[in-house]
Amino acid sequence: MGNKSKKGMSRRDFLKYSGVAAATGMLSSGVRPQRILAQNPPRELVVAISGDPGHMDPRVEAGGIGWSTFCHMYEHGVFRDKNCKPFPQLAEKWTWISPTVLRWNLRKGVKFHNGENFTTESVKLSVQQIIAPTSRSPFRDGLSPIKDFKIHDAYTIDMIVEKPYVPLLGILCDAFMLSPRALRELGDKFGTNPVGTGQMKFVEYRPGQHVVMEANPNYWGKKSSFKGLRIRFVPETGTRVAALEVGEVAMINNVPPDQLPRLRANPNIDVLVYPSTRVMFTTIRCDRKPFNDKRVRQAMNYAVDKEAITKGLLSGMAPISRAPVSVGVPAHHPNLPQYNYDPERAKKLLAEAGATGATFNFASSNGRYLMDRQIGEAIAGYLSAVGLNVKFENPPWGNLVAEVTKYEKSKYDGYLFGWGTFANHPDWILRSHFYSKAVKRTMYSNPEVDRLIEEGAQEFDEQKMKAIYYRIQEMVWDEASWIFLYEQPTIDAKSKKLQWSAGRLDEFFWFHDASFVDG
Amino acid sequence: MKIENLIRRVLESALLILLVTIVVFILLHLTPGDPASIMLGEHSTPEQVAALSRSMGLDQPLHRQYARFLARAVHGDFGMSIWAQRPALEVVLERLPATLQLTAGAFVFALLIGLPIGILSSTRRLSFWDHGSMLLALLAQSMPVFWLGLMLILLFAVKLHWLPASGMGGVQHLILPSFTLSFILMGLVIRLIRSSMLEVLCQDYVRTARAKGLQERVVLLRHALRNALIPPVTVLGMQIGLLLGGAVITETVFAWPGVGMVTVTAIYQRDYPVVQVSVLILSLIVVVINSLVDLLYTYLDPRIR
Repeated sequence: MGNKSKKGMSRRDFLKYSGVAAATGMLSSGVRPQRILAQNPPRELVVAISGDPGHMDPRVEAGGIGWSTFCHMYEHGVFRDKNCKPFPQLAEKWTWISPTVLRWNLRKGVKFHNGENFTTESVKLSVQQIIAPTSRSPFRDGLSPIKDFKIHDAYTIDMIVEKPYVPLLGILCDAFMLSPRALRELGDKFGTNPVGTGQMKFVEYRPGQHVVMEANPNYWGKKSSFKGLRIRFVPETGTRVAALEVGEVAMINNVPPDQLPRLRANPNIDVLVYPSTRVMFTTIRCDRKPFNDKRVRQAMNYAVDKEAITKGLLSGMAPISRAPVSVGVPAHHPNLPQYNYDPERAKKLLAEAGATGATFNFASSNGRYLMDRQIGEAIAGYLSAVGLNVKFENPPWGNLVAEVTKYEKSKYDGYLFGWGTFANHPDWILRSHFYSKAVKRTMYSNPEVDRLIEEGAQEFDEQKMKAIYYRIQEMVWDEASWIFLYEQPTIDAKSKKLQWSAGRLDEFFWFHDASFVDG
Repeated sequence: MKIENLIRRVLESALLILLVTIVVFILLHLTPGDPASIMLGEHSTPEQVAALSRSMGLDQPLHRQYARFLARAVHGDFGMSIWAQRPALEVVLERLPATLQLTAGAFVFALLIGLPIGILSSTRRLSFWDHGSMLLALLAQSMPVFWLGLMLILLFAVKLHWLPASGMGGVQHLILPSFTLSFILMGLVIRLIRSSMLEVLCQDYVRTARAKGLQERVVLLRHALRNALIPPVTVLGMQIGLLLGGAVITETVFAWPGVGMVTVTAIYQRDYPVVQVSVLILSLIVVVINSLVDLLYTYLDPRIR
């Protein structure tokens, strides 16, 4: 009889059955209808992106990845084209009927995915959601000049500002139009059940896995050529690249430069490198000694070899910053004197200012921008080489944001940062960084710059506006509260089978007009 | 196991889990960075950050925040995910099956591959096979899962087109990630089985079995292996925590939507409720499995009862 128990199960039986149960459990949980490699339902576009927006609420900060995802389900009254120029989307027309009143005439016959008509009520409610005191939208400050609404009828609305504010139209390009009925009915569940007017309808969001959409058959405009859109979240770069190579996905974003030779060697893949409006820079605290001396800040600009950084670390794809406002933004100054790499001059300026050996507490993020850790290390090296005592930190993005948004209380004297200007107006970047009444990243303060920033935002005349912003850029360039570095490119890759007009300056991916080459 | 031992074991486990939540809570809150500033991003003003922190109760002293967490947790309410705006428990539980699937797959792979190699190694001691097995065990234990995963993707997905590169779907999606994760355990399985078998093979009853004229296969599998398995079963059961830890990296490499990936993201986003729930559930799994292994051990080895 051995070990066999008469009362219960023997050890042998126990082991046998538990083994079978474990194997069955494991396999049954994994067994699904067989899908062959790279086979997705026909005409569904599958793409892989580097992160998960974390939510589906267009009222809350979602980063470029989130906004791009939402753009397929939600629309704007006015949206921007690939060059960041506004174009009418749900508003048929916009008019500044006076310097303080922006009128939108809405498109008729547009319906939300829940069947509700798109009207001026939606516009008012959507903007109110952004500017509410409890709003978690990054566009709250930008749209807060809106003080009132005047609804003329279901399709005509005026947005009223206290004093003229020209950048308003560009910032409204980030205001998604929401369904009032969905907001009322869904309540807390609004953030997980997107209801827009877009070309795609929401089907499913699985955090960490994907968001799935299906083509909206009742779309008011050109219908999508895809049956649906599946955006997969694949954080690991090597895996994302492999997924594109094997045809699991038709497009990937955020390709680091070191992966480009491998992708370029593949005849089935297009590498897409295009400019953005994002300027990269290192902030310098203008209120702390010795950095309150302009000569020290200029010395830091001469000390860093921007060309070597972009060539060595970004494969030469990033143009060097020639002005605080990037090339793609209106009123970019094309003729500023350049801070060419000149370590001897940097050393001389530091010595003149008595700043040789001064400590510079410097940080760069790790994984937020292209090659940011390596570029931060290079900058630290260049600054050390001219005689500064650089204390370099390399925190994760979340830690860096938490520290730098302490603003004047931040422990850093400077940090590597980037800023995109999608609003088609230089006010967005200049007000955010050089206006002393705004947030204090560098504590830079120049009353003349403040005055010109206020004046520029009210100027409708293009030539006069340009003259104002040229003057601002000349001053902030000379006073160097940043180490001006380069303009970060956007790098994506796609299958040759995908016909897609990429290259948006705002770094968004938007497949509105995309299609498969073979249909 | 006597009933009082069982009760003592349950109480010890509960205390352990409580301690884990306290340590994680303190560590999370001591780490630089707060959810409000991360959520509002680089455009935020200090006033916005302060208002959001207040609305989430993050301006309260740490002990009060923990007491509130605990008071809610005993009622099954672990709070809302700060980022996803859904119950944190729901966010974690919906990912749990994927992680369990992955770790179970890795466990099976580790046994399927490690067991025969360990037996082979023990029966051919100091031979070429034995040295080869030990080298493999060493490699398996020292190879970074991250690197191995990428190499396997390159080989089986990109070059050979046999398996998908990433994501979750049918059984074929499970093979590469669970095979990769199994390497964490495989080396251990090989070494444990080998040493345990070597010990058992020297026992008198094995000699007796051979003397009776039994086939070598029967001697090894029926007599030696069954007894040699007892120590490895205990040790491997205890290693489930190692697998769950490895799953964090494996899930990231293969875009496998499990608890590991959600925990890593939640740590970066300082989504405190999600991290707390993840750690709570993972430690619960480890504690429960360890207790089950203890029970199993007493069942497998009558001398311990």
